[in-house]
Amino acid sequence: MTAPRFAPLAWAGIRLGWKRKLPLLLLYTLPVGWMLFFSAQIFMLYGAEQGMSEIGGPMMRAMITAKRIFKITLDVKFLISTFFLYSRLFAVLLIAWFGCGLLCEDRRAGAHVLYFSRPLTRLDYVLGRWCTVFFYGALGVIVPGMFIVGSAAWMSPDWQFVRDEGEAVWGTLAFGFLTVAFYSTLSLAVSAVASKKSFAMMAMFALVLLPHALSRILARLLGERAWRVLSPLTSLGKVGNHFLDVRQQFYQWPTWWSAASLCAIMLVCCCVIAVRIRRWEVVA
Amino acid sequence: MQPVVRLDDLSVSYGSVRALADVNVEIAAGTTGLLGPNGAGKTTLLKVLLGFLRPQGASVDVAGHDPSTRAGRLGLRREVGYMPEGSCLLPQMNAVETVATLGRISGMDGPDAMARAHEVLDYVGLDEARYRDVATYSTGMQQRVKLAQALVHDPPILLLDEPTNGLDPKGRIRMLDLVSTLATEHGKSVLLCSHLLPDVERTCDHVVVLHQGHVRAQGTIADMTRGDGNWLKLELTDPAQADTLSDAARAAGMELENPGEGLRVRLPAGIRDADPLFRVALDVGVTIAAVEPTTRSLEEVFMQLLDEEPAR
Repeated sequence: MTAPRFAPLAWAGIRLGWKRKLPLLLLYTLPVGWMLFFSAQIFMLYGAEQGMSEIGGPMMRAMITAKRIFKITLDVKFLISTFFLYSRLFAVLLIAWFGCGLLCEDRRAGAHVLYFSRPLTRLDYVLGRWCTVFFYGALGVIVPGMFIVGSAAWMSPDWQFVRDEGEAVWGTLAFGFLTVAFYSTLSLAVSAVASKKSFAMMAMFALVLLPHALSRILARLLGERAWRVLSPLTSLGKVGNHFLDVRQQFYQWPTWWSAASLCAIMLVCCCVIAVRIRRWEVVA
Repeated sequence: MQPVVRLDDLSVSYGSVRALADVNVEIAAGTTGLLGPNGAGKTTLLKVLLGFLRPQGASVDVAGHDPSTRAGRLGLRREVGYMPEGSCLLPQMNAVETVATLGRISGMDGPDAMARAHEVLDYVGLDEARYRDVATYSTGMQQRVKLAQALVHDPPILLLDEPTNGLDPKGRIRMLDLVSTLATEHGKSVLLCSHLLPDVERTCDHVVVLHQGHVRAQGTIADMTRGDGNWLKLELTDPAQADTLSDAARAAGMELENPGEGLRVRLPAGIRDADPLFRVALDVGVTIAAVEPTTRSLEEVFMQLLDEEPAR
């Protein structure tokens, strides 16, 4: 079986990103921290549920006491949803760092001409770049999410978590995939338009945070929470929680509204990328 | 011989600006220079050959592939190596990574691409510097990497856009030698796009001259620089007899010039050999030591073509 045509380009991008170790260290510190924090919570909650005070030391004993007093119930899916909620801004930063420079730096250096003169279609080129940014995004979002799920599966007695809540594994994958795919596409769209990586990063943050702020203001002014559907951050949470089957008291609008909002943004991004890349090829 | 590139009725416009108009070109195997001043349409022609631009109604054939179809574009890009004019190397990558990556994108597997990258970097003469970030390279080194990446997948056709741009005289000669050996020793067909006439004259057998989107001339350099046939360059045994011969030749309907670098004679129209001249010389007792047809430099031909109105 031969590798797809975009694979060498994706691999080259991944290797290039790997060369700069300090940004990698800084950008992945928080996702790894959250991952360990939530995994530890799961470890302690399962331990507390099973009364394993002898193996956990004072922390475990405190957890067991707290669990009895406050009647804490273990909800792994809720914890995963909370992990995605906490790490969403870092996901934006992470993906912006790796994705925003990919197309505009190619353009600035003139490297796109070398790629277009190879047996590579424009779609292959974009897919190659998209896979690069998706890889780094997945390392910061999907891998920690799956690690938390794995912790729950490993800690639950007789793989009870997998047997009872196996759909949470797919839900976590889908939530992570949606988050990374959305931001990866957005980062490539702004990179296709911007002349420099720094401008593209600013544009990406603006495109994520301004609609979020605007949607909150509209929701407050008009007294209708459904306006929050305009925020990609909120819509990602809504659709992701739907995948995880987490009850959502706050998001009182149909899930498909959020899905449609995200699809519309992604469609616009794809159109922007397609138009820009076509133009680059002609004026190469 | 089957041409490697054939263009029929090719016209390309950018909005209201016509970049190429009714271009009919056949490029044979070997080295061909694509000549023209800035804005002549050279780069547009290269874009068509690479399938970046898809003109309607024209027939384009590059190594048997039709760039107007997706399969044709992918096929021809396997057969063509392109060296762009401007800067195109990504910083943070060294030459080996750059060339090997582009080899893999061209369809080679990883180990082959790496081995071939070293081979072509050896060929262009990039030694230990190949492991350095390309951002630290001189212009000459960058040009060599650009040539190496065009060669990595061993294409039979090379499109080289101003390969000597920014090179010092030594680097320029080295680059032109590399280009020449690609055709003569490695059997590549090279299309050298340049506005530097000496570069083209040194490396190419054929030229295509473009001006204002029109093909002004195409053919071998030897044919183009040959004189009009009626002018001959003379060398006399005794240069002091030039005036004697001049008077006798004029009387016989020939025209003689003495422009400084030698005596030239124009034979009467319709006469293709120098026999009448020898007869005149014999009559007046002048001995002719040598006769050869006059040639024009490529620059003279080029300047003349640019001054002509395009045929419509």
